Amino acid sequence: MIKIINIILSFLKMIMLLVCFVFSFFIIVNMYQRLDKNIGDSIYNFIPFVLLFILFAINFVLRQKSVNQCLFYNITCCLVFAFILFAVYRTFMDQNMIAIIRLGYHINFNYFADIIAPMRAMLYILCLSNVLLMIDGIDFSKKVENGE
Amino acid sequence: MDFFKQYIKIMNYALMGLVFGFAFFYLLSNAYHYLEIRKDFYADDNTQLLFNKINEKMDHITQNISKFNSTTYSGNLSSNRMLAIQSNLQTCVQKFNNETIQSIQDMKKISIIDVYRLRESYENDIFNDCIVYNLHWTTTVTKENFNSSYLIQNQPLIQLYIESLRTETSYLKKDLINNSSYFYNTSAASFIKHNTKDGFYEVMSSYNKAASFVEYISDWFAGEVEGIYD
Repeated sequence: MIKIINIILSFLKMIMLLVCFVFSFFIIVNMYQRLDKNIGDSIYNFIPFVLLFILFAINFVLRQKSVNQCLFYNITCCLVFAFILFAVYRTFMDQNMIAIIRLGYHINFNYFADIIAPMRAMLYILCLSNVLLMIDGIDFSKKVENGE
Repeated sequence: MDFFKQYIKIMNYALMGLVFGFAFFYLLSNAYHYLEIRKDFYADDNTQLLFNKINEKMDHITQNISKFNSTTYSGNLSSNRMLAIQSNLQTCVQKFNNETIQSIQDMKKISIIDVYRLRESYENDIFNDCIVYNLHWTTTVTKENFNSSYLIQNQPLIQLYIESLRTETSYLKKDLINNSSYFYNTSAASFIKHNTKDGFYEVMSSYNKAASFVEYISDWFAGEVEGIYD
């Protein structure tokens, strides 16, 4: 049962990551354009997405059980992405926030700006956790035995 | 090596636990905030009573204004001055019957956006267009430029009243503009009140106070026409 849940969550987190990245990219690029800022400066916001995507791809290709079969990690990833997606939904759709009327745009940058910092922090920690899970999955004892 | 791996595992689960906690907190906090700003307020008899009160005051002001006739007037002030004041008061009555308040008066369900629009209309139509542009002269009358002892004697009171009208809804404005931030529902002031309902009554009380002020000036105007302050 846990194995099936893990397989579902592994695929789900991959899809959710891509969706989160696409929408965050759209919002942040528009935000920088509106402020007449150099769009190149916004790249720091996307680094954790790219890193996490690379790590997920490695996990997937190398079939790393230590990561793919870690229920807590998969749930945490999905929870973080659910939070980002909810924030994205509210950025576009929540018409009860005054800033969306005052700014006159269809995107509530004011609200999303509050989300960027925690989003980046959480994605970086997920990257670190992924790497640590990979290290945890390496069987050092076999290598020591082979070395002897 | 085992000790090292165990240590990494502990660190890793601690990190994941931290992210899990934060994500959960942010998700719940946002969900709460989403519901909080969606709370509508359903208009009841008390709401209609407030609108009626203001409308009654407007009717009274209109009656007071209509008492003036430049051909029969023989009071302390010049006819031109009285005509200008009459025009000021007429403009105020028009501003009180603005589109926003008319539309909200007919609404059964009032949202936070309506409260924001009502507050904006209070600031633009009532405070700026009526009080500042048309009735600000009441704060600058002196013995030299205005021959009415009643207004001169009551000037400190009028100044205080106008100052209170200016600042009364500024706190609400800050609160409403900041409703895009999820810090909004962590502030104690926002937590203990129904933002839409209390915000609505706050703006309406300012509307009512402003209407009372215009009524007060119109009463003086009617008195001046009838020769009460001679």
